[in-house]
Amino acid sequence: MAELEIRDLEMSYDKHHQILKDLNLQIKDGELVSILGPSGCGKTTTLRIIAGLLPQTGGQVLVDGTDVSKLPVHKRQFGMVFQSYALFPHLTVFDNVAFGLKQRKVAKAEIQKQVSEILTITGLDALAKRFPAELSGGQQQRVSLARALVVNPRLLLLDEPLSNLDAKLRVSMREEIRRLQQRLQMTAMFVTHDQEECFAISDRVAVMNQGKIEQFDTPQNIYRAPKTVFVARFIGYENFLPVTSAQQGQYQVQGDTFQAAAAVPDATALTIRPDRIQLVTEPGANTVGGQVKSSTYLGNAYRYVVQTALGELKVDQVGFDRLADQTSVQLHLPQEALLALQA
Amino acid sequence: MLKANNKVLVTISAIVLFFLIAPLIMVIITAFGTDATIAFPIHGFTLHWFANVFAQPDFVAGFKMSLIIALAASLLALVIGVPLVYALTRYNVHHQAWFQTLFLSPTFIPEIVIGFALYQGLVITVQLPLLLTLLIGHFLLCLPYVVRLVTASMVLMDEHIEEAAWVYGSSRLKAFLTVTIPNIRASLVAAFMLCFINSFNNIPISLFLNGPDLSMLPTAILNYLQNNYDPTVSAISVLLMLFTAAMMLLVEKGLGLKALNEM
Amino acid sequence: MKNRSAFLLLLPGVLAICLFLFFPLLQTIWPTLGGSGYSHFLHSGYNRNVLGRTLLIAVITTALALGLGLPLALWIARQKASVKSLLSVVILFPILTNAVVRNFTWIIILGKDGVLNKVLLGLHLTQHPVTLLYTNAAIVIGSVYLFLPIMVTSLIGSVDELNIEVEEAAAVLGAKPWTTLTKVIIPQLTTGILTGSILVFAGAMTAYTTPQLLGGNRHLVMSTLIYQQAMTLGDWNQASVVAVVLIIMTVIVMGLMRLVTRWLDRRPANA
Repeated sequence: MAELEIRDLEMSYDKHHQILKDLNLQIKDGELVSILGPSGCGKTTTLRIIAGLLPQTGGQVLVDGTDVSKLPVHKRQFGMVFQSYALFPHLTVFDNVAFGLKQRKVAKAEIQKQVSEILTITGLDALAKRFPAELSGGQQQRVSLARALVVNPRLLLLDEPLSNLDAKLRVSMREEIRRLQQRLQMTAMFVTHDQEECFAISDRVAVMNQGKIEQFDTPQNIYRAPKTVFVARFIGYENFLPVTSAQQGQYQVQGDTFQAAAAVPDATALTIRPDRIQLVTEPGANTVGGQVKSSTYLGNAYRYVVQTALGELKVDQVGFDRLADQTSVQLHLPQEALLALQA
Repeated sequence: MLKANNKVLVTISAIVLFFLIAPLIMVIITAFGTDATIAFPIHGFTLHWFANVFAQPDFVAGFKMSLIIALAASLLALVIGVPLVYALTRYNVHHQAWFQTLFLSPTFIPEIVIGFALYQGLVITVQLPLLLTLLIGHFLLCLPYVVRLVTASMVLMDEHIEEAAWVYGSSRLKAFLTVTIPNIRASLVAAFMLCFINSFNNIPISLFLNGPDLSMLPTAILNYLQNNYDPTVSAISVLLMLFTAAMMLLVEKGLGLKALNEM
Repeated sequence: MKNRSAFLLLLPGVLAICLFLFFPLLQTIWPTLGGSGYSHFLHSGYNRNVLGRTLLIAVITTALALGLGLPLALWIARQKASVKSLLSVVILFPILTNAVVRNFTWIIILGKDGVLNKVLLGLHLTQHPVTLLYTNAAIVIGSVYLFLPIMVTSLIGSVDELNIEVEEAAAVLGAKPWTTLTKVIIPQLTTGILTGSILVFAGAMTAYTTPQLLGGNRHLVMSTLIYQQAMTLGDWNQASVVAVVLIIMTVIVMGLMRLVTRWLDRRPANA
């Protein structure tokens, strides 16, 4: 087990396209950190650089304080779970799992013992003699995980390991990964584009966009207080009000002034979750008037699209009777729920 | 990890590529030397040996005959091969694998043996004309290429496309001509080219089926080489390489580089 | 009705193969049965030598083609698309070029006054020209040259099907490049290796032009022996015997290879 530090990491395939820009990240011993971002944001590139499968063009990858940048892949002693599982098709489950131990010249009896142990932990003992082609997707995923865990890697890397599984299996596998990672106290890095998956499994999350980390924090903080417009949009915020000027927690939006939860001097937008917007009868501070444009029944609430002077806002309301279209309403955006975002 | 830029891998690959290419380049160079026998490196520069190629009646007649036989054999292989591939891929034929093996069987018999057997069994025993037997031999050489390439593209082609044509009123024959053929066009052209080149280049089958007035180009060169060692052979080698290059260019222009790689 | 159409479509092909291939073959094989042709063939030490030489040349050629072709195929298959296409054309070109031309290049190189002897003499590695042409080695070199592109082509197809992540997984687990090659890449290429080997072995065993041009009259192989028996010595029966032995050898080799393939395919890894 180890600590990982990424320092000023840079990557470009040619002079014009920079894939990673000055990336910095620290992962503590035994921590599971996710990189979350849309496809093409550079998250898999980052993981492959850490693994040693790609050479970076700048910066360092440090494990327990020593730079491993020059160390070839096969000497880094990491474990990795691939998106395609990447099992050795010509080897049985047992031999697949034993592969890494054989490279480390572990004694035969010891290999037998360790492989059997991990196969039991991952619930694969009955399948030891099978070949990968004879396994279901979920079983292959388990083998891939067992193969990575058995070598007791200094760092466990997971590259979208759940994306090829169906929805139900995805949930149970992610719980399994989390359980094993905590039981074996592995330092792990998990790459995904699925926000729910990533929040469920991670100690901390790095949200990545266009080669940069936009926010690195616990899932709770990221959800409660996204820092940038991109992060807010990516984790599901839908209402955005463009800010023209910001001063000490006061924000100008098309002539109206709003007070938000925190003072962000370089804010460019305000956001609020639809269920935090309140319907009020009188105009007042942090309030804007509008007309209901359309409504949708969501089961536990109604979702209204309200046309205001500041643009369309989505509002969720529980327990009211449905408001007819064209109804005039006053929307109150509570200060503590209104978040100021950077570009 | 074994990367494509692994030094050992690159070094071996470079040496092997050199081994493949260098001899051909060397032959091209020797075609222009002024020495009476082949020398490398060459002295002087002349096009005399190219002129000498065309002064050899065996070469000129052999070229014509090879061209005719290759064309005829390739077309014959298509005419007989495409219908049987259609039957094997679109009808529910019993013992389908058995038929497949039957039509590929010429590849299991050594070419020299085919030539020898045809000479013995058809020319001597049945008194079939030499020219016809030669055509038969080259047809046998070509048929497996047609069967293999056209089967592959028929299997890849969506059967429902033909069924759609029937539903909208095409007869089976019309659907085959207007829907199936255009969709397997690339494999037909590739099969034809492959047949043509292999027939044109073939030696072992033609070897026994030579006569006083019947000589193919490769066997003519082989005979010339038995008695002479001058750059004329280099010159005709250059011409044959140009011929191959022209064929490949034709396929590339018509069907794209991908078709070439699949040949 | 449907069956009748299929029957009519298959008929010309079946007739052509039966009349033009099986009938002449039977004509060739039939007279050799029952006679003393085969025992005569096998009792002759000279003939046994030819048989042994044929097999040996085919084995060595296949091994060399595989050894040289595998690295090249791996390298070519892993180039970016444009380079790969170009190299594939470079590999295809010799396959489509006349065998006489390709063997002729080695006459120039290996001959008594050939390029290689000039180099050896120039470097004072030898005092007198070395006999390189008209040897078994010359036949092997020519055969490797002739069949290497075919080996490379069938291997490239196999390498293309590999999932690169599997090799990356091996590397992450600590496998050195050489281990990755021998324990991960080659085991996955068995089908391609076998296909290539069958093609090269059968080709090298039955080739006529190469042993004729590079082996000369004193280094006969089965195919040149057929021609010599029939056309030079006029012994048609003995030529037929040699032809039948060559067919049997080819069938045995193909059968063995297919057996090995099937044995390997029992392993469901290729499913």
